[in-house]
Amino acid sequence: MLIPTGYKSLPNEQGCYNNQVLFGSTVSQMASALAQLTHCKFLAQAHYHIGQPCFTAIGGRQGASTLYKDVSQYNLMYQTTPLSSHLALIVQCRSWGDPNVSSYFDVELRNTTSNSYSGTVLDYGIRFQQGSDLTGGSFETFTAFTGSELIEAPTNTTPDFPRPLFVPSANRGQLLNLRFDFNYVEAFTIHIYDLLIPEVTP
Amino acid sequence: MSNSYTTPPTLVDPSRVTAGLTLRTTEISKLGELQNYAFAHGGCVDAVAQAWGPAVFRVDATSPTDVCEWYIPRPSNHHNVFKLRIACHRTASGNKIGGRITFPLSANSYDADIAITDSTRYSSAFEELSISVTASENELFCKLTLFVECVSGYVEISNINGSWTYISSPLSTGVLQQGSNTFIPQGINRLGADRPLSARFGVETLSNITTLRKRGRTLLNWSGAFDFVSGSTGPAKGLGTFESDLMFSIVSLFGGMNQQEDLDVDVFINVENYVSGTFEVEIFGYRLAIVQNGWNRYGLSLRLSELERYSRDFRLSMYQVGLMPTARNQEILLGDDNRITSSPVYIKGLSIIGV
Repeated sequence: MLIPTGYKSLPNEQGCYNNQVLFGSTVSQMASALAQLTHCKFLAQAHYHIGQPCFTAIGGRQGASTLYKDVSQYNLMYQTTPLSSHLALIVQCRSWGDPNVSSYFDVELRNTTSNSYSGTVLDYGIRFQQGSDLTGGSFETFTAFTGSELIEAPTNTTPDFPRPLFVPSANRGQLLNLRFDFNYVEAFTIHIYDLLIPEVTP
Repeated sequence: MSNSYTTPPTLVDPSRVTAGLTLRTTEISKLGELQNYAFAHGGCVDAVAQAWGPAVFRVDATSPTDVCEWYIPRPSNHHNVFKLRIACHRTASGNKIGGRITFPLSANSYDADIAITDSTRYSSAFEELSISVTASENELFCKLTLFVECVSGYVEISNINGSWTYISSPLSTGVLQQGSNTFIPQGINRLGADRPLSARFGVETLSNITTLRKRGRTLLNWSGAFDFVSGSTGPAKGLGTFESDLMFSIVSLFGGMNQQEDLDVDVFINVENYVSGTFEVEIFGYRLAIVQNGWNRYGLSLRLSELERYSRDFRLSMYQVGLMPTARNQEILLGDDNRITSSPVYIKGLSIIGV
């Protein structure tokens, strides 16, 4: 079934009254509208803005920080739905900019059993490397994007090239941990999305 | 008659609901389950998410002190447990962190707190609070406040996120409410084989879909830090000039929003130091005039242009939703020429909730 992505007009409810001929299209439109809700609208997403230090006399950020840590880790929680299968990422960041320094960041997916940061690795994840994967953006920011390919379950045990993360079926609906390791990269925002599966077999 | 649903939900076979075919119970019971599932699970995803770098957000208040605040959507009047997860650590045992949910119209609030266990950043486990709404509330937007209390030393907050807990199957009997709208759960036994299908099923299904389309989704949520350890550097208290390049989300909004009633985007702006006069900020394609100190709310229809590249990638209509990178915003945001020490009007919170 193709998953609709918009709010199409619903049929007139009088078509459902007693003594009316119920055409297939009325039920079909109901099925379509419910598929849009469950498989499109109610997919998960999370938008993390990363606060870096700024001068308290100013009170807000007026540029990329000169004070951030060269190497930093983030364990960002993400509440999946029972239909979350592939996670896309958009990360806005700034790299060190020194060709003699290896600027990159890794992302891996873990479960959160007992609220632990070191839960079982579900996807050994991906690496964004300065020069090849951190591109675009304006002024001093880069935008890193995983793309949206609906990959098969990955088998890598070291960070892969950028691709969406894969949520095993047993972990869908659970709270998951996306662990980010930044090396000479300053993160500004991290956006996490469930990917839409455009066609689903009923 | 059980208002049950299966997880994950299964869709209706589109080839079985075309004109000329017999309406089978298989399809009708799936329609009922899908409605029940959507009511129970829809919107139970991250309503708030924010993070801070190492050694950025430290709080040493020795009495319970509010440090952040966001507006969040509530899926329905029956979603009563909010799970707040906080990655944080402390320098002294007994230091606590907590969350409070406040319904602005009823003025009722519900809170929970917990003693922090970790003593270094991401040492072992994050804290999880369950904030229970114990009275009947019918508001679909509420404020979430983060508070800290230290015995001594400080608490460092690394990141937070939170979501409402879904309603287990089966849904309770009788009419359910989503704000002032109603949802009628579907009894799955009634939709089984050899049962008469009443016209009421169709009417209720259309009404339920209309209700669920109005359910809110967090598109962007940000709070400044209201209190932290004093020093020359710290977390942002308000939006600075750099944020117009960053304070947005690339999110899907769905075609047909503008053609249907009550499908709009709600923007909440939390302002400090406003007394009177003109203070305007450009957000979501609108120039919005602040009218009061504290939270200001605007219901807006979609009029942004779609982002072609991301729409193609995500197979959805994607938009850049948030603060706009305009000259006007540059003038009013905090910066070298507009320092917080001169007590200007500034934005200390921004929440955008779509449908």
